[in-house]
Amino acid sequence: MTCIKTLLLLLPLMAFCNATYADSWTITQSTSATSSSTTILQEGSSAGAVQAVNSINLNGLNSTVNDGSSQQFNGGENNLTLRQHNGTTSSIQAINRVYAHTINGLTQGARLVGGPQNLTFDQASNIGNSNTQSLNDATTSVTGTINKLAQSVLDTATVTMQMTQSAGTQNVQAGNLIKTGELSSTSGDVSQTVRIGIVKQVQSNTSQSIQSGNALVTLGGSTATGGTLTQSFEGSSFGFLGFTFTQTSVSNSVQARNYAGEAL
Amino acid sequence: MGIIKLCSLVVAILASSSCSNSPEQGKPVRERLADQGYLLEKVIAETEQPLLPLDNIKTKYKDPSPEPSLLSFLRVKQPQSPDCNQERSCTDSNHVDINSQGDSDSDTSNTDGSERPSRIIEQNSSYPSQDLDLVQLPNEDSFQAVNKIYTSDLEDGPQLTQIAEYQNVKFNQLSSPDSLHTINATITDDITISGGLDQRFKFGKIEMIQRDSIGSVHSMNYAGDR
Repeated sequence: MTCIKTLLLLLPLMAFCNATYADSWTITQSTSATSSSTTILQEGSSAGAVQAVNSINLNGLNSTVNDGSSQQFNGGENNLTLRQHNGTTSSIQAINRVYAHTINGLTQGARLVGGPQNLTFDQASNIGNSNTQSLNDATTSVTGTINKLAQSVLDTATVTMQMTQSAGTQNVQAGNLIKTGELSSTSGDVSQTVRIGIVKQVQSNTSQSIQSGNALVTLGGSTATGGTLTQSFEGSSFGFLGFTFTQTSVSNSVQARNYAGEAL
Repeated sequence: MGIIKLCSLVVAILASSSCSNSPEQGKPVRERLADQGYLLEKVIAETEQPLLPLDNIKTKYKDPSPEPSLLSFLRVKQPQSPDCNQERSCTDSNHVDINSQGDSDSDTSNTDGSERPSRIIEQNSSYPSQDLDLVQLPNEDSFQAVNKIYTSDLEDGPQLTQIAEYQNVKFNQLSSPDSLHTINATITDDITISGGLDQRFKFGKIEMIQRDSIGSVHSMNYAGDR
């Protein structure tokens, strides 16, 4: 009897202890390259792998990235190359990447300053399927929300985006990438900005693939809540052949400066 | 973490004091909880009271699992400054000997047996003129980092800082499935812990390759699940 009474007393306490507690973090991450060009390679049988300079990876059920958080990469006066190739499938390569349930305030920035630097995205031949490659990647779980986010790619002189694949499908390549089902409805809360010099985009032999300076890929299909997003793509040399698209032998693929929609 | 572990402790105390008819019942609370993996640091409850005021209990949970604890890799010097006290422990630079042959945990041990840091931790591995080889060779389910913190070892609300700087860095994850390979790592598996984190990494030149590493994470700064 004493045991039963005690257990009855314990029930409310046990319920309290079983309550869900969110992990809520204010995170600042910064990385600087001071003296040399950087090449980041993701290759081989790397299914489901993540490669990033700055990475936040909280739980998808109830985590929160608090307002005031930031991820910054400063490449200095150096070149930067991201390359995925040789069998990589369902993998992610990014400079700044966040995954969480709720993003309440995050700034993601990638910057190369000073001299005539080159920024190169390369998803090369023999790459597998369903890979993403970006400078800034903000992804939530399907039921998650982005309330405040600013992504920027700034001051890079020449950007080359190459998807020259032999048979890859559903690959994504973007300067700024958001994947979520719900954004803030307030204009200006969520933005993507690319401000660069010259851009060359090449897409060949791809299927169901997206290549864009800014990209929003919605999650949840018809159940997605939606929201408001500002996408800006600015170039200082576009008037003088500063921007070129080349799309060859592709199937159901997209090349764009700004893209918002479902995955192909 | 604090709330859940405190609750677990109270549940364990009450359950063991009220529901057990085994010979264990005759043992002091401290011994019985120790048998279950709990280490009571300051316990007022050397009594057999069935209900204890929560604010009278101050506990320290000793995880019986073989997972590495924070004490296993921090060289802690404390107190360091007037800011350090019982509630705000401090740490000095985290000097880590990096084993480039892919150890699962390339950590050093806490050599002075000091208290576990609770609120403020700064790990600083800045050697601007030195090179770093951090290479994860064929491994599985492994974890290699320069600065590493498990938030499950901390009280709620920590303020954490991890800083690293090197000149030439070789940072490769090779044939290491289900592994984590980082410079600065804070592991937030315990979702009851929230706080602040500042991670900074500076390098002169880096070689960064992730190859044949299915299901792995390769990141300079990393905050998230294991």
